Amino acid sequence: MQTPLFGAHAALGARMAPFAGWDMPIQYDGILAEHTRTRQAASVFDICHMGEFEARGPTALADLERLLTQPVATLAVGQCRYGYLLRDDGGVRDDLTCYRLGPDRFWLVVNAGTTPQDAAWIRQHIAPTTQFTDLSADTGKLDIQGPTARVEMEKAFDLRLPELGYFRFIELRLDGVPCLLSRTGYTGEFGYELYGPASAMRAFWDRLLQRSAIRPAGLGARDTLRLEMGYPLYGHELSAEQTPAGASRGRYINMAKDFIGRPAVAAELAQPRQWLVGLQLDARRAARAHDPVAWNGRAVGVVTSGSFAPSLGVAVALAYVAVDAAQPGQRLTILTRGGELPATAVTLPFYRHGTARGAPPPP
Amino acid sequence: MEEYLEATYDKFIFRVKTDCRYTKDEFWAAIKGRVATVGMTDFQQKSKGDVTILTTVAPGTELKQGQTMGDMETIKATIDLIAPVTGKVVEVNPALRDRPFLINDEPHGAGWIYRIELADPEGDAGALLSAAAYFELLKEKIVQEAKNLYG
Repeated sequence: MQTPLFGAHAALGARMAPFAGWDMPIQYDGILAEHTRTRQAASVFDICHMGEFEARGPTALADLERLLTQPVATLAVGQCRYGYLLRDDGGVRDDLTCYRLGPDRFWLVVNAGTTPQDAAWIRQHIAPTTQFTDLSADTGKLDIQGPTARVEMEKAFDLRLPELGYFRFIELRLDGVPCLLSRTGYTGEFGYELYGPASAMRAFWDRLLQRSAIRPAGLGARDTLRLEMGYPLYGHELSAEQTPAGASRGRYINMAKDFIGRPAVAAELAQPRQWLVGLQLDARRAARAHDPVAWNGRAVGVVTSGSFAPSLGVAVALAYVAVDAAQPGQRLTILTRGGELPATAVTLPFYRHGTARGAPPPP
Repeated sequence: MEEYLEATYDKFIFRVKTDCRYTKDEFWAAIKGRVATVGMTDFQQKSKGDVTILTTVAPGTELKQGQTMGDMETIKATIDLIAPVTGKVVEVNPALRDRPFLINDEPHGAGWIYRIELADPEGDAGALLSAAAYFELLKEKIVQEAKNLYG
């Protein structure tokens, strides 16, 4: 499948690759350049492949409270929250963000590869009085990320944006087109996720690139940026085969409520076997998903993601590691096809200077 | 005029430049006098996919044939760069710093990786495969690795 920006990527000479059934840009002028620009200035990412659902009606809140691990009832209108959609056995169907647009109106933003299965599952688990709509086909999404994202957005669209708290959003019109703008992202930097009609995305994209200093970045930089923050990626750190307990250590899960998959999560949080840990390697050479992790000659875990981390100058990895070997400071060995790579377990995030939570530095 | 041998598998064409010499590790060397320009084979770059991050050794580094001379991450794998010749690195392709995927675009052209001053030009040349010998090896590899090719 192609996003509404496929032609724009081709015109920019992007290098494309298949991702979750979509033909997506991996890099334009190089992952290192795009990564650094996002940390220091601002980038725009085509994220139109991701899925968006709306649930509304008098029973929507109760349905979502039972479907999702994150607290929903305490969301204010204009606030969004990250969490998980689980199977009955606690396996992760998806990780997603729940937006509250009104007392009885919510959006869910889900991963591209899981969108159809998520929609089917949610439809099976809602009351007849909850209206569920899959908006994905008609909804586009651009991520504008980086410390200068706000000033550049204002320049591109010739408007003033309000102060938005982290994980807060507004509905607004851009060029007369109704949109939703949230102060969220997947890079660790200050920035926005912008949702609007798929048909408007090409005009928004062109405007951003023509009237601001924002440059495009691809999924390659998106991956190195999220990895430096220790953010999980569905299919790597999260999957149907395991509960989110090891990745979240209880965060984004409200154990005080009843939700689908809760017993398995409760059991694993009570007696954890493995944690998702950050491994900082001694050198630049990267480990890869599925590489085994060893401690004192014993296999204690497996790498889920790995890459050179441009902001750190060394390679980093995320790995599931047995709880007794997962303390920060623990020295571990990653067994790669090309040899053994020494690493140290560290507290996440790897990169500690991100602007995501704080106000951006003055221009 | 540049000449290539070509092996085809499915929609892929693998090109072997005839005036270069090759290693089984999938690197090529074009030797002129005492200096070899070295790079990655077309087969390797197509098999492993777009290069995303390249780590090279510094100019002045002494390399032995078969030794690691850096590594690269592609969208599919992390791969060691294996020196095809013995000598001292005199130049790292500066264009690769920002655009490592030139290795994919022009593995025998703008995507060259190092210039290496050879310790023993004739000995090195003798230890490398001719284009014709590498081409035979390549055809065998294509059959073996056909399933791993991307696309």
